Amino acid sequence: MSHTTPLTHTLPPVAILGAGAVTHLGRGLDDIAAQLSHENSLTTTQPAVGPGVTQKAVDDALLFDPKLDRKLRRADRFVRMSCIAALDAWEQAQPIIEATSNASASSAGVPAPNKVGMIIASGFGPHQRGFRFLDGLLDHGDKAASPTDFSHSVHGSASAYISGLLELRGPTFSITDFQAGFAQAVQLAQCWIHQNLCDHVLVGATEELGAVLLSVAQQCLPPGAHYNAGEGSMFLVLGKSENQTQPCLQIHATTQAITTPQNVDLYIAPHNVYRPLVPPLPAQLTFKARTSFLNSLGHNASDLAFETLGGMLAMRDPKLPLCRTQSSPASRQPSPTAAGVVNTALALVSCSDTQSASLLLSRRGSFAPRR
Amino acid sequence: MISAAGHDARSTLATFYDARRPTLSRANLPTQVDCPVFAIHENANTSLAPLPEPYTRSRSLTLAMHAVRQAMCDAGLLEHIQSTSMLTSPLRVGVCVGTTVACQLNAVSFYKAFRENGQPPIQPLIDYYHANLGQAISDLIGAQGPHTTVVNACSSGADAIGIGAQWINSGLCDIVIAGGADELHEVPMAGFYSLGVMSDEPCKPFDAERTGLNLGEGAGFIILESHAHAAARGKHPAFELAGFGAACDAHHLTAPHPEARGLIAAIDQALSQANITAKDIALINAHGTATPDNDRVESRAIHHLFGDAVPFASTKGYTGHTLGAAGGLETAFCLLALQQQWLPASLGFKKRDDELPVSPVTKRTDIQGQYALSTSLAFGGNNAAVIVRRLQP
Repeated sequence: MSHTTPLTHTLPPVAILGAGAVTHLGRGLDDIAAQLSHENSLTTTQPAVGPGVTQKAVDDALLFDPKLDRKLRRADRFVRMSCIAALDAWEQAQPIIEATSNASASSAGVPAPNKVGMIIASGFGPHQRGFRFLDGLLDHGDKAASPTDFSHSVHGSASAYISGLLELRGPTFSITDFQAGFAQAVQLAQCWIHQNLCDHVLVGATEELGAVLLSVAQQCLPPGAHYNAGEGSMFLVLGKSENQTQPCLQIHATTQAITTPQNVDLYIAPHNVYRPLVPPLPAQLTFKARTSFLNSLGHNASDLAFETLGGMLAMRDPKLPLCRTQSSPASRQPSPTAAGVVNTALALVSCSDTQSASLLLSRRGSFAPRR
Repeated sequence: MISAAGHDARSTLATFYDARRPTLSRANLPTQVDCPVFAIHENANTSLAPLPEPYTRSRSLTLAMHAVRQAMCDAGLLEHIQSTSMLTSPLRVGVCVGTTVACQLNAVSFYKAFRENGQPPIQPLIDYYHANLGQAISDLIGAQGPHTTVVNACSSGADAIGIGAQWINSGLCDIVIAGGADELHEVPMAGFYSLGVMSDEPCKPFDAERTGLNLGEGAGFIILESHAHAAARGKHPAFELAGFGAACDAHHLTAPHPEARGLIAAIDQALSQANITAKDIALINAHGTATPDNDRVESRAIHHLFGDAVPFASTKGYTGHTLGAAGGLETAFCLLALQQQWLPASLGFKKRDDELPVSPVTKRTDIQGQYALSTSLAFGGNNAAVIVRRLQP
């Protein structure tokens, strides 16, 4: 077979201008990092929901924000987590966007609403609201179900709330995948930014816990195995790297066969009882340490997003303890010892079971770690 | 393409040519909602090929693969990418699909079992997992490039086509299979009924006496290919995707912006990307769901940008509202219209609404020109515009 073009084409990385997250460990990157720094956060879980299944649920108190409560009065957990993470990311990015815009004298520091896009990835979407709609249907009949529950049960409900809250009028997409959604979203954002379709893109992933899916997880669990389920939302504000005047983190996604650099400092790969580390790691990949943050954050269909969050925290704080990943026949050493510490300049976050989607975090400029 | 209007392009064209409304029926689904729907009926000549395990139980995927096979055949590609004589690698073949129903966990019996004993059967969840259309179609045809499943409600199919073009323009892909698919299902039927937007008679897009939408099912796909790759394999495409725009109203979860802010912005973007002006558009396939809000807002956008100079129609009178499939189907319908140089009658329109500044065509209408526009509006305030161009032979 001859090829008219290179097998894989990689887009330039984009700058991370803001990040917001709400997880079991708290709201905001500082709180989450502080919790991760406590060694017990690596092992603490909430009460088991059944034999072999534990959960890392977001504290309800984190989902109420006086700034948002009136606008979110009909919103469910999925929408609230998404809005809080998106709002925090957006607010964190504002000074950087304003400084960049002022430097280029293009728009007096205010991003044009129609040049800000948004992409949200989720495996299961607001499925709890969907089940609430089914409750109405089963309890009251097909002709008496709740229109509010129906309109909130679709994947796009979170993006609708966020675009309204932040007055974003660019392209607003919701996408779904059971493992690579976040990488797909980042890759699409790279397309938009490099084709100048958007100046900035808010990219995120949200998953919620629910009794129904936990019940299925438990039914599917092999004897003696353990599954640690998690929920939360993570959003990034992305912009063109070359426009940034300050050092920053950059992100780059691939969703085809893995096309990574040969040497990374930190290799982050989620794996659990449902996603063992097969096939083996790419032969060409070397790394100083391998870890996963999902012992602390819990697993879900957007593992890649929450591992990326962990990778960002590790890059800004070289003292962040890294959890030792469970050994697997397919894994290769080295792996950090019980609480390893790595000065990370380049981190690779990858789907463990297919190697078909990965995210590369790197530094642009002389990015100074926090401590 | 496949919809109630036809199982392929030829039968669809015949339906459009005769302005023949397919038979509406009560859905063959376990629902008390008795509004008529546009179902796809199989017979000896038009059966849907079954899919292998573990994909066999998804009707949306079955419909999608029916349309994907047609599109691949039309483009001179074999059914399995890795067995074709393409010049490119499977790594540069992408799949982007819009849907709504396939990616909603709407398994009523599954949930009912959970309510009753806390132990739902796991097969429906396994089926749901395998019904992610982007992933499943990639697996079935052997594509290994990017894949994405867009869940932007009723603009999903159009948005998927836009993403496909962006992948090619970015250099990520040489070929993208793009479109949308959706099946009829009792849960969205109950949902749209609860919103009060379903009609109990055949839908009448843009009509003064319109009473709401009829749901439908179907799939519409197109093959996008870079000019360079098409030329390299000796293909001379008849059409090109000239422009795409997407914009959000940032207004309301279910209602469109009253002044069509997002739709106008999306069409403007698509025109700009196509490097043309409104006067270059020969026809518009409007979203035209026949709900009071959609048609009012959409007619305002059309009037704002095109005056009353451009003929437009809604094809929902032939297909019903196929949700995530609509954007894919209606882009394909635009290709048919440009190929034939006529626009089908906008079925169901009889009486002009004084609130609407423009009205659709009432009979099959000859058109002249190279460019056609398809519009989509969706829950969440999403709007999409696709412009296709007929290339000179």
